[in-house]
Amino acid sequence: MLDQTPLDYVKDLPGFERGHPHYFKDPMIDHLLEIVMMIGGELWVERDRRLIMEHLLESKGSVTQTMVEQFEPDDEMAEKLSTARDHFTKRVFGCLYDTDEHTDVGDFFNVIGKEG
Amino acid sequence: MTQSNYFVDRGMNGNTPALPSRADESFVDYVCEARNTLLHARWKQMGDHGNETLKKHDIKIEHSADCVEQVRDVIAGDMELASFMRIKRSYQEIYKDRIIGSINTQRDDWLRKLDEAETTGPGSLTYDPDFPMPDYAKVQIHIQPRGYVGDDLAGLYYDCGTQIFFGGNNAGDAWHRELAERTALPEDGKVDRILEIGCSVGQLACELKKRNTDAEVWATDISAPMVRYGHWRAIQQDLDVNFAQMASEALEFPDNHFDLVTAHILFHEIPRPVIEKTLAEALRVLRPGGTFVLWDFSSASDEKPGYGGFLGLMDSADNGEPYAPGFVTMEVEKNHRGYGLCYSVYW
Repeated sequence: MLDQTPLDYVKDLPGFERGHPHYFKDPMIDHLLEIVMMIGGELWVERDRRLIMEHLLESKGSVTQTMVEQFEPDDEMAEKLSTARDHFTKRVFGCLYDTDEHTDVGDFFNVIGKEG
Repeated sequence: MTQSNYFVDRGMNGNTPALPSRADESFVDYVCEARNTLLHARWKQMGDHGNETLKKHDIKIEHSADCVEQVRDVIAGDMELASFMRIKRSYQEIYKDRIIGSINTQRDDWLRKLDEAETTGPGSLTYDPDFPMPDYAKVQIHIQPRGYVGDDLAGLYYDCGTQIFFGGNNAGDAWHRELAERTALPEDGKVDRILEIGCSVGQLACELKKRNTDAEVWATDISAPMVRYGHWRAIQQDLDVNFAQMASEALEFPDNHFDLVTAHILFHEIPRPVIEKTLAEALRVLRPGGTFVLWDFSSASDEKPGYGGFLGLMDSADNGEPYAPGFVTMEVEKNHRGYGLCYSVYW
């Protein structure tokens, strides 16, 4: 039998509601960072799609929306996309690291494309 | 509004449905990558910096709204901490929101699939549309809008959304398979009945069924959307698992009924009084000589729990983990040693 004794305090605990926290004195800085992160994601979406379309054009000679949507990369292509995404992230956000070791990653995917 | 007619079938990613569009999938892959790259690289440094900064301001960490507000003031005065916390929160938000938005483009199709699965096997499904939901379960857990009990598709959101928790890739439930393999079975070898409490979508229960094919397996959760989706998910794997909506503190099974009882990352998501009742219930339904395997954070306060300090407090407040601080200092292992309890910590 479920005990219905209310735990009144739970709704007051930090984290019970999602809320809209901001972290900077001026919330506009929060909003600007949110926009930057969102644009980073949307930019990667476009790049990912272009890389898939180029791959399909090279291998199949044509490309349709359905082919892109149903595209399942083989292990080699999956690895290339993963590495390209990793390098993209590091180029974009490298300034937040303590060293610059992550900021000098080139766009290797396009280099491989030219060699191919 | 559903737009499913405009989308092609993108199939499954292991045991989890692929998101409806390549764009949404690549977006969440990017968020996982960026989150792991940025946050993991700076996690310890920011934790130490946060703790030192609070010490300088003479703030003693305690789990209260007042303390969190004090800490927010400190964060606002430290650009490094503010940037870190902003990135952490925003990635969680945009990841969750993108997945939920993507799935809801096919909402009507999913609701129909879940309805159709209700009377289909293998396995069974039991839930109550009028279940008296306690307030504590209405938490917006992991900042998921409407939480785990307030949206009919919460189970599907959970399945797609916890990939970020499992490092971005748990295709095929590899994480849960490993736990199932490591789950201690009763020494006498008798495993006729298995129960997973707080099962969410039943990934561990399903892997335990694969390991113990002749056992009768039950998976319970307080959330109807979780067990409804878990049942659909088990059917896709042709697994005979019985899903039931049940509060962990009020298990509707006889005494001494199960050979193995397990709970996976449940205890840090429920308040202390409910944990105490859940422990009592788990041990009540466990037969003498059976095993109760608990997978969760450490609850030993003297072991510098991974969920302590500045980052723990702010994760609790800003990542929808209101009950975790209560659990991680609860000494569950010390206070319940014996009685078949095997406490397995993997953080």
